[in-house]
Amino acid sequence: MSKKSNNIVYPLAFPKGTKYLCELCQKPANKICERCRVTYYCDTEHQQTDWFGIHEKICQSLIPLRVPLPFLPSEEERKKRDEDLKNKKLQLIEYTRSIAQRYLFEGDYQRAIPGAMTSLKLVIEMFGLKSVDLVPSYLILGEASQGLGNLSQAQEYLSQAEWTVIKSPDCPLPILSKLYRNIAMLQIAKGDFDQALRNLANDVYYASEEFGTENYQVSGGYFLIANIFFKQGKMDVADSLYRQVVTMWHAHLRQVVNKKTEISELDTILGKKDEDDRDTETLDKFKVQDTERSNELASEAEAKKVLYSIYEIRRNETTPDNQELTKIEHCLSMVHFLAKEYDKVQNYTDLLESKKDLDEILRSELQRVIYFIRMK
Amino acid sequence: MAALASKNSTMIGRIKDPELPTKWVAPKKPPFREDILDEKIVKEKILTHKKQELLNRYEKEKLKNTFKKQLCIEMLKDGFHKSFRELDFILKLQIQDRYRVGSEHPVWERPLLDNENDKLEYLCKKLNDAELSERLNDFKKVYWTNLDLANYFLLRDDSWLSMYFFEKCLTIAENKSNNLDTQLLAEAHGNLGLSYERETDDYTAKSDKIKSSYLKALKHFQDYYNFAKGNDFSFSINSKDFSKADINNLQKIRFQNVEDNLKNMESPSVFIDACIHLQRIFRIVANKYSNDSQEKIDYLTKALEVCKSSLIGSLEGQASFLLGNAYTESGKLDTALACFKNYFEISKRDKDEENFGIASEAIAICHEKLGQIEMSIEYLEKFLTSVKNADKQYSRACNCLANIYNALGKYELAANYSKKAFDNSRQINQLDQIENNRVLVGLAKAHANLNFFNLNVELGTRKTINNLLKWKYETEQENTLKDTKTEEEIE
Repeated sequence: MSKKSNNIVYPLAFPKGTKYLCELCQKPANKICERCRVTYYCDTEHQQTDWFGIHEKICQSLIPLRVPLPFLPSEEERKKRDEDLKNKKLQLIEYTRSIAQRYLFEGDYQRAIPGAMTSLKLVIEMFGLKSVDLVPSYLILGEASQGLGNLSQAQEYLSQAEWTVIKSPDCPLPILSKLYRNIAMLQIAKGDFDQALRNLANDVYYASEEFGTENYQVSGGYFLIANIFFKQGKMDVADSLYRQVVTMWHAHLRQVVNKKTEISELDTILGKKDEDDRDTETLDKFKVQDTERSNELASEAEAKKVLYSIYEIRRNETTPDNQELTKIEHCLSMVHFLAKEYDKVQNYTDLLESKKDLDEILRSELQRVIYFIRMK
Repeated sequence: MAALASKNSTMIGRIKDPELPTKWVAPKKPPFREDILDEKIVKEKILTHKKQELLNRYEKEKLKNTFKKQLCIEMLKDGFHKSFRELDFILKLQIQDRYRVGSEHPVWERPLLDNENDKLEYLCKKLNDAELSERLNDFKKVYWTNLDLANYFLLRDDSWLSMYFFEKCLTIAENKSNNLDTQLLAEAHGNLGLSYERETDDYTAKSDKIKSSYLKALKHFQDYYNFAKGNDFSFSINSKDFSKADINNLQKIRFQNVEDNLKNMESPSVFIDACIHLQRIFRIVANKYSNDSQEKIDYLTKALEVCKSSLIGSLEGQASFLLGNAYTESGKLDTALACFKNYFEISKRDKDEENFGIASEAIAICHEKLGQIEMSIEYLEKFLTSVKNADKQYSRACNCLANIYNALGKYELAANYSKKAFDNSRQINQLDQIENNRVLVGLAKAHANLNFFNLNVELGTRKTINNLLKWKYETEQENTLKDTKTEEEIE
């Protein structure tokens, strides 16, 4: 309660020339965040939005970036400090982006916007307005606007992104593929299926060139193409594409789960601590691990979204393909395992074990997963 | 009067000169100032440029993209994702394959598939067809499409890619849930065997990859034979993509390594084709890669069985001959004899003169090795009687007999036969045989005269020395040396 009254600032009380603006809307600021004391807001509403969106996670790390820098005597020290700041900013950009991405996949569009805006601002600060690194943040913003229903805003963001890409000579391929994917998503929402298909074809092409044709990261494009064909009623094409998506995710998830369950056996022998019970040694290391973790979370959220929708479609088919259903259920159990939702894992493993003609390898993997859970 | 008449004729009925134009056309005025002409041209250009339609966004992209990328995008746009992945795989396979044959093979000079537009286009079109048929579960069509692709690349000398598609055909045919005919399975094995045999051309002679290729080819040909056995299949061409010339070329490529007498066989049935290739491979493996003579004999026996089942006399005969040779090499002359007799019977039955001759010769040699010289003479005389006069077999027969008599020491008879052979070959005017036989005649006669020469030298009388001198100068006179008795002795 005392915190709430302490966070008011008066614009007229600022020193001459300094104007503090709201984080989200750039209006003159009336409130300050108590914990870091470098972030300003115009009213409580914006403060709460920002807190839930991104500020909760990056509150402390914003301090070194926004505090006015003291004078350091030697050139080397100044250089070193600049280097450190640069690294911190880069890490922060990655981190905020992955958080925003995760919220996007979970469907929480409003929450994703502050993170994306922060990352965009940081990139503009660091690289300028014409760099290609702006594009992923624009894409996230575009997708969030589309999710909230604001198609014209989304179109604007995406056009900006496209212009940046066209203007820069060497755009890295994953960014290109994401761009085309988002443009296609917007076109699907508008109903322009032909152009969406063309853009998705471009997306899959670039993603395949970057990651290889069997990688799970190409599957997002395939999923969207399949959705279009499903809407157009071309069931055979959609069916073969869905199968491909499931195969790709299946292979990837199996690999990750096997690695995790294997390591745990060795760890119990050696008495190592689990990865999650880590202590925060330094701030930087924390950030790196956090970024990896949130990237994993983002891909888990994507997997959940994709697999659940395919599962629904398959269950509602007139002649259900049992082998395919088994595969999807296995994938879902693995996703929940990686997300540490063990009760749901239990549901799926019971469902799978009740099926008679289960593959031997699958069965043994299930056993390992259950064993791992019980060790916890 | 005449002049008036002519005048009249010029006035009345005037004949039109066909060369004059019927309508007067004004001649074109050249522009009197050249810069106006330039301006006009520029204005026209601008007008036509404005009239041109602006390119669509996607047409612009088409012009910017590489051909391969454009094809990929077309495929993906229509949902043919498997074709896309397969194309990607094939392009990577090409590079791998080039490393397989070593970096100095001439194949490195050919352009990569990325850059060959017509091939890429055909490939993508067919891959799309295959994927469509696969979705509709029409596996026969998938098989035929893959077969078309394999043949297409074979005709264009891309054997690495044709082997890839032949392998695909085999997996499709072997997959029991597709319910394809055994004929397709057999043909798939046959095609793959031929591909492996072609692969051996890529390697240098010392590499041991050749052996593994041949052995793989052998295994596939055996499967081909087993599946084709007992069934009356015939080749049918289902594809509309190939012209008649192409089909002929394909058949030629198929029979590339087959023996000459079989090459002109008109459209053999599947079973005969299998026999031909299988026995050929058995022969190659036996000759090059058998570790001991027993293994060689095994392979050749198997080849003989195959040929027997094919019911083609010449094949069976050849196989028996080779088997017989193998047995003689390893020393089992009796079984060799049996084989040669088989060969003899078959060529007699088929009235094949040349093979009949070879068979008789072989039997004769065998008997000779066994020591049964009378038997061999008998056979050779049988041969002689059944052979026509003005035929090269006649000279061969005579030569054989001459050889035998030489060995026996009966030089006169040998010389006789050699002369007959020589005359025969002169008659039919075969140059190489003429030289051959001439030498043989000379040899035989020399042997015949040897005895008398020795006698002349030993005796050393004036008469004999005279004889010798005379003989040296006039070697055509055959009886000079024989006349050793002196006048005194006669008296």
